[in-house]
Formats: sequence, structure tokens, C-alpha cells
Amino acid sequence: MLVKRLHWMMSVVDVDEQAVGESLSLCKENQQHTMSKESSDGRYNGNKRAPASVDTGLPVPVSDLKIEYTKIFINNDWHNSSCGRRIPVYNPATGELICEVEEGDKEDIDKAVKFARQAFQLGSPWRQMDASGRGRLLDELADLVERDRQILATLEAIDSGKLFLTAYYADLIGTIKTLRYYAGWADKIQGKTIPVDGEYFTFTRHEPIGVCGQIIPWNFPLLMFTWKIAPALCCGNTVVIKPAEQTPLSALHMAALIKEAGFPAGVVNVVPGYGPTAGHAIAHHMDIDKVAFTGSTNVGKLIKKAAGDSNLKRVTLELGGKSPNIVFADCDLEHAVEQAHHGLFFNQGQCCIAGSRVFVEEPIYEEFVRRSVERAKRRVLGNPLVPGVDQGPQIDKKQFDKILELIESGKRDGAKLECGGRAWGQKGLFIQPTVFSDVTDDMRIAKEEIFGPVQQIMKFSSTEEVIKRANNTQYGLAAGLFTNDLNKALTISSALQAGTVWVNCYGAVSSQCPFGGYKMSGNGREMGEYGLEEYTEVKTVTIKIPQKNS
Amino acid sequence: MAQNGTKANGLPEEKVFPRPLKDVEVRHTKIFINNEWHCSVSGKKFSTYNPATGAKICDVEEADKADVEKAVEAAKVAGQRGSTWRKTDASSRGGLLNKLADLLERDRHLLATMESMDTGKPFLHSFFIDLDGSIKTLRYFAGWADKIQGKTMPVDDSFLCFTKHEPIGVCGAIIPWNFPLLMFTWKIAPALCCGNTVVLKPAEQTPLTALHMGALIKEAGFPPGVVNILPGFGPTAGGALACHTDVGKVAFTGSTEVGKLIQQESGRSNLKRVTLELGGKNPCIVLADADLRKAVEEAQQGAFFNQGQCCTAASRVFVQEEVYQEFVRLSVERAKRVVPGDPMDPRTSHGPQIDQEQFDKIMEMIKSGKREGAKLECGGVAVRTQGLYIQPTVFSEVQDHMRIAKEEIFGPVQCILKFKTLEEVIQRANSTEYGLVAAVFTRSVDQALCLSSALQCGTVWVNCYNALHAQTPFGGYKMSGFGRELGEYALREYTEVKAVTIKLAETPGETSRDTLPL
Repeated sequence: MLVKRLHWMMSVVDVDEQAVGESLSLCKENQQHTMSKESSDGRYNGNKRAPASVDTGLPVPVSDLKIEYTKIFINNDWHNSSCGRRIPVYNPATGELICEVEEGDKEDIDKAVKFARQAFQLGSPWRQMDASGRGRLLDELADLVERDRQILATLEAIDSGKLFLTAYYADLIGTIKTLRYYAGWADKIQGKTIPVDGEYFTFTRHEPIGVCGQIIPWNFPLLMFTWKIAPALCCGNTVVIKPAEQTPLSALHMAALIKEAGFPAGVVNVVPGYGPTAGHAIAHHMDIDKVAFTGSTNVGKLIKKAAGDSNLKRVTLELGGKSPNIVFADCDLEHAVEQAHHGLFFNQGQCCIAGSRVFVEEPIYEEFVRRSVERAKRRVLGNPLVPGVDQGPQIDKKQFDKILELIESGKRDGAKLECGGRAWGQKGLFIQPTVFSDVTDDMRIAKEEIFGPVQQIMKFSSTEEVIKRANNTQYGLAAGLFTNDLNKALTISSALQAGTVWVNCYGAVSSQCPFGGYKMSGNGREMGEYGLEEYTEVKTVTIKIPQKNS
Repeated sequence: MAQNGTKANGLPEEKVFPRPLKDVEVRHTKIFINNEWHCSVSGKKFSTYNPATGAKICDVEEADKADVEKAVEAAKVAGQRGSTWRKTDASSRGGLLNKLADLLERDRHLLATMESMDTGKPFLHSFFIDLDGSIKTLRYFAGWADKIQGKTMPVDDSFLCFTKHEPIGVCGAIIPWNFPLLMFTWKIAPALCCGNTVVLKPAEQTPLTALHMGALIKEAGFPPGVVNILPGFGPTAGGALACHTDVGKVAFTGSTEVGKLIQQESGRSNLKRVTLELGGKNPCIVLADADLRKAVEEAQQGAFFNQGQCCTAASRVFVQEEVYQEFVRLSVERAKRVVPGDPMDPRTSHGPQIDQEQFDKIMEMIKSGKREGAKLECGGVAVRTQGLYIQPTVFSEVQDHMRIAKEEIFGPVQCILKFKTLEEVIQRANSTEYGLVAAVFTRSVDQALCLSSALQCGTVWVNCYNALHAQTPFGGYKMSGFGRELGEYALREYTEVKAVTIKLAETPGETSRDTLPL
């Protein structure tokens, strides 16, 4: 089972397959308390074990990690907040305070933008740097992330509650690959020469936009940090980035690495803070030329509106989803059950791409539900730092409450609760893996983003019907499709209104491949060559010439 | 704007000029939905006038929210999966656009006459520039239709990954009155080329050519509902389009003020994709080593073309100190030779402004220039005829802080400023919220390339002005808008990228079963 889990994880974010492969066969031993045998002495049994490196060959978290960076990073220096306030940062697995971080507000954003603007000015070291030099810096940063991989994975796990091994293999590999991918693009951002009518010579330059404001969420703090800064820096922009208030730690460590890598002062500025204050200041700033946001559709709408209210800054948005995952009777059922399970429960269900509407074809519906429930019951909850644990806590009390509220609504609306449905354990923010069957399209759990470990399984009978139902949502982020029929695969992947369609897999995100939403799941694309378009401004230069020579 | 090809900046070489049609009968005055002509739901109509004479041309049905609802519904049905339009081969979409271009060529005299009647622009400009630009834009995008290619990506691990560039859906288009037909084609050609459906609102001042295009679109054989045309006003019909939740994208050309509202509406409603082509306060930089006579000619064409009613207007001419006096002298001399006249007369190169509101605004700006101490070299007054004519105006000794150096005038007013160094002029040229276009006149390669890199704007012309082409992307930096129209780049704005990733079997010959042991 663990083999499959890690294998799936690999497909999620560019995992180093060999590294995982070598170690994972050893780690089955570490599976312990499943839900069904939740032990009476709490969930931290795992802590009693010594770090498992000797036993298993798996990487282990850094013990007694000292949090080095808690200040605002502007112009390659560490600053106290202007307002004097600090953000308490908690470990969601224990509820314990990890540390306090300087809280950025409008004044700090203004300061950061001032330095980012200065770093972007005509003639600055950054503007005069060779494009290949920018690529080298991104590669250097990737090297440093590799060096600090264990620290960063530990930070990420204690700050977000995600599994250490997930952080180590999925988030960190994704981060490193994203940096290296865009490092390679830096000197390949090519304009065109254009055969225009008349006696002219015309070419285009793809220039950096300027100061980019970036606002990122708490579910993949480090990975989203990289998804934002890598293409921005690759194209020659400067950055003011605000990590989520729940998870500022890995971003601040990255700031230190950015300085160490040798990026000129002011090119990247990291300002921890809250959405309504620091985030608001970014969205409304008159001297920020572009804003990229990953988060909820509600906030995404505010950000677009703020661009219209202020200076028409360019906007890219990666927002929510209610992604359909369609399972046909002719598919490999075992594989589909497994992928659909991970497509929903990965990262405690806290993924914008979560496959939260599983449509299963009638003939296999009962069996699919049976196996999915069995699979969900096998999930191991517990300390995210311990190998063998499948599921950590939710990020915070607010999300925790919202998820339980949606579970209640599911029961009330008449869906069949197959397993789970309640909080788990005596402390911390854990929720039992939950499966609902007999879900109908009108229920709240079939319409709203839950962002928790709650799987909805619906029944369908015809292709036409499932296309219509799958598209009947304001969202359009991702979709999954399981079938061995080529016609179905190609017809339905064309018909689905979603920025990403996975066939016989789920969550297979990669640096090379564009990612983004149709409809209200957002605007623009991140990753891949397409990601470059969102960080460049196209300039046409037309020069009069005396005579044409084709 | 839109001098395609060799007809740049004015008259063609032919000696025998085409003539406007006499007694044009306006046949299409209704709302065009589903390839049919409709009366407005409200029963309201509005009048369109000839700005050269002030005479009413005709009444046109006035679309409002209810008509927008009807049109969007028609466009949505036309674009849904399995519809005729969605099943049309990409090459056939190209064929339809080419057919439409053929029909424009057939009706060229009629369209050019109508355009001049409705806007007041000189007939020969309409005939050679607007019509030529429209036809070329249609043919250019006709060629792209079956070349909108996705990619396959070499992703890690055993997956096959490809992208499809799909149409977005229903595209709203809101266009201005300064180039009604050309803007119509700039909007519909890339949208249709990519397989979208369109609901377009022409400006209330100039609905006639758009409505004639409705007839040609039907005649060309586009399926019903693919293009819908709704004459109406901005705050009503335009507003309804901008906030409609079934419109997947809206493209707007017009003022920065309204562009900001449209972006806000998108945020308020359904996050529809937005492209904006807005205002400009465009620097035209003349260096001491330039071919001075040519620079004078191009800079003034850039300022006065289309009665100065261009978003690309050269409204800040920066001239290097050494040649400043001479440049001003030659510019004034040239401006005095421009005689405003009847747009239908082939000798006329300068017509009336579009309406009283614009006319008043321009006169007010001229007054502010005088008040703030700029030197009025010539013009500055209305021409005493029946229409809305303004004498071509030149201001010298203009300072950066003056309103005429900061605000878009949208009239025949040339502002000439002095500069000393390259550093200084870069800084001053960029010191504006706008970033649409710029021009540089110099013989030096170093200066040309240095300036073209440093200027913050979407288009830089070197030793030319208003050299716009269907092949070339056009759009603004900063508050002049976002997104690009024309060229290959425009296709991005009318497509949604879908990534499809397929899991490959672990071993060839097998299906995609996971072979790892449980």
C-alpha cells in the first residue's frame, strides 16, 4: 500500500523516483495505528520511536530544529515590522506555538515595493544581468534547496501539518525541479521577427513586466513560493511575495537562500502577513505591475477588482475547484480506486485540485464504493513526522470547523456516510477519512469546495450525462478520467471544461506542463512555457527600412 | 492608425481616386442576433449623425440588458458542444473569414462611404486605410485558423502530455467610434479564427458599418448566433456585457477610465478574461541626427491623423535641443497647410471631430495649454462651418507638468517639448501612467536600440509612425491596457489552454495497469 502511496506522490509533483524506490520498500514496517486500531494512548506513539533512518533508510526530520528566520526580508536584509506586531505560528499537529514572525502590513509592503522598483530600474545590476546569468542564479538556488532539503521539509511539515515524507519527496522535489526548469528557460525567452507588409523591419521583445506582487496559500507553501518566483525571476522581474500567515517559515528560509545564491538586493522581498492587510496592500498598490494569487475564488475576485480599482496591474489567479473524477466501467478498477482515493485525500484533502466529485459508472458503482471505503479505512492518521502515517491534521481550527460543518450538511442532505465523518483523536485538528456515497449534484458537498478529507461518490449511466454534470459548476480547474477506451478518453478530455485533464492518473502535475483554470477557477497558466507569457510584456519594435528584401 | 502596406499616412499613388457612393441607403438599422434582425426589447431607438454636417443619418434600434441577454444566449447555444460551429473544421473557419474578406472587397465603396458619413473621417482614408486594414486583418486570421497548435510536453515519468488551445466561449467585444470597422475586425477576426462566438457592441456614435458587417457575416455563411451585433450605449448594453456571467471573455477598446470599470466587473461577476486597449500619451522622440523633414512629416501625421482621434496619437513630441527651433518652424509651416474640409472630397485630409462632447473637451484642453503658458504656434480655434471642425493646432514650449502634456486630448493638437540628453528623455517619456506606443527618429543604431529597449510601451516605431500591421502585436504597457491584439500573440487572448496528461502503461503492450505489487 505504501508503495502505491509514494508512487502516486511521485506523480503528483515530479518526485525523484529512484530515490523513493530505493527506500520505500523498507518502510512498510513502519505502518502502525490505522484508523481501525486507533490506540487509546493518543496519536503520538510514533514519537516514542527513534528517528527511523537506520531502520528504514528513509530521510528523517531534523530534530530540535532551530527557527532561524522570523523577520521581514527586504532588499536582502532582515527587517522588523513597521507596526511592531508579530504573527504567532503554530504546529497544527500539536497546537503548540512554534515561533512568532514579524507581521508585514501596508508600510512594509510599500518599503518592499520601493526596493523591488529600485532593483528593477533601468541600468540596475539585475536589469543589466545576462539572461543566462539569471538562469545560473536559479540553478544555484536549486542547489541550496537540495543542500537544505531536510531542514525545509521539516519546516514545512511542522508548519503546515503535512507529512514529512510528502514534504521531502513531493514538495521539495517539485520545488527543486521547478527552479531548474525555469533556470533553463531564462535565456530562451525569445521574441520573434515578423514579416510585415511594407518597407519595415519588425521584431518583438518579451520584456519583464516589472514589480510582481505574489500572494500564496498555506497548503503547499514552499512549492507555491517556487511556482511564483521561478518564472518571475526567469523573465527578469522583481518580486514582493507574501506567504500565508499560517505558513511563513519555509518562505523565510528561502529568502536566506536567495541572498546566499547571490540574487541582487531587492530582487526578491518576502513579507509575511495577513490577506486583508498586507495582501490587500499588494493588490491595490499603484507601483506593482502584476499580481499573481493562489487561493480562494472569493479572494481572487477581490484581487481582480482591486486591479481595476487601482492601476490595471496584470492579474493571474489560481483559485478553487470542484474537480470531477470520472470512472468508467471499462477501467482498471483497482488502479482507479487507488488514484481517486489519493486524488482526494492527498495533503489531508487540502488541494485545489482535489478530485472531490467522483462520478462512477453504474455497473461498477457498488464495487467502487466498497473498495473506496475499505481503502479509506486503511488510512493511518497520526504524527506527520513519523513514516507510515498517511494523514496529518488540517491546517487550522477555521478549516477544521468548516469541514465538519460540510460533513454535517452532507448527512442532512441525505448522502450516505460510508465511513469517517468525525474528528479524530483527543487533540490536534485531525478529521477521520470520510466517504459519502449516494451523493447527488444538488447537495452542498457536491457543489462547494470542502478542502478536507471528504470523498463524494456519485453514480452516472451515460457519457453525455456525465459530461454535462461534470461541467455543471462554476469551477474548471482539473478533471480525472479512468477508461481504457481511446474514444472515450479523447472525446471526454475534449469536452471537459477544465485546464487540466488526467487520463488514468490523477494529480500528475509537472513543471513542464501548464496548470490553471477555466471559468472561475482562475485566469492564466502557471508552469511550462505558457507560464512565461504571464511574466512578460510584449513590445513590438518596427523600424523603417529603405527597401524590402525577403 | 492602421496604415497597412504602402498606403501609409495618406493618399495612394493612383491618380484616379475612388469616389464615395452618392445617396447611400442605410439598410441595416436593427439588432443582429442569430443571423436575424431584431427590434430592441425596450422599443427604444437612437439616432446617428453625420459629424460633418450635423444632419441625422438614421435611427438605430437601441440594445439594452434584455437584448444582451438574448444575444448571449444565442452565442452560447451556437458555441455549445456538438453545435455546427463547434463541429466546423478549423480550416473552414478560415474559409469563412476569407469569404467575409471577399465580401468586404465587393462592398468596399459602400463601407468606406458609410464609415465617412458616420465618423467624419476623410473618404480616402476610409477607403485605403480602414478598409485595407479590415480586409488584411480578416485574411491574416483566416490563415491562422488551422494553425492554432497545441504542444506535446516531455514530462518526467511515463505520461503522455499534450495541450489543446480551445476557444474560450462567448466573447463580448466593446469597440470605439474612431475606427469602427477596423476595430470590428480586430475583435471578431481572432475570436472567430479561434472558434469562439461573439457578442459585439459598436459605439453609439458609429453603429452603421458594424451593422452592414452583420449582413455580410450572414451572407458569408457563418452559422446563426456565432456573431451578434448590438448597437447601444456603454453604461447599459456595454455594462450588461461586462457583468454577464455567461460571457467568458470581454475585449474592450476605449478609455482607461472605462477599462478599469470593465476589469472590476469581471472581478465582481465571473472572472471573465479581460483584454483592454486603452488610452495613450505617446512620446515621439526626435534626435538631432534624424532626417528632420521626414521626422516633421511623420510626427505631424502621427498627431493629426484621423483628426487626432487615435489612441496612438503622437501627443508628446520630444525634440532634441539642437534641432528644436527648426523642427517647430517646419511643423507650424506644415500644420498651416492642412485645410479641414468635406470628408467626401478626395482632396480633404482633415475632417470634423466626432461629436460636440469631444469637440468641447478638445477646445477646453487648448485653452488650458494657453493658460498654463505653452506657446500657441498656430490653430487653436474652431473652423467656422456647420460641423465640428477644429483648426490643426501646434503648441511649442510645452512643459511636462501641463495638462496638455499629461492628458489624452484626442484631437488635432500637437505638443512639442524640448530635451537635451538621452537619459533625460527616457525618463520623461516614461513618466506617465500610459504605455501604448512611442516613436524614435534617429540615424544612429545605438540610439534607436537603446531607446526602443528603454521605452515602456507596447510598440516602438523607429523612423516611422502608425506603422500598424495585422502581423504585428499591438497593445499597452501599464495603464494603456493589457493583452495584445493582432499577430500570433492575439491568439493567446482568445484561447484557453487545456493540458491533457495520460498515464502510459508501465510495459509496452499492456494496458495502463499498475504493475507494482500491493
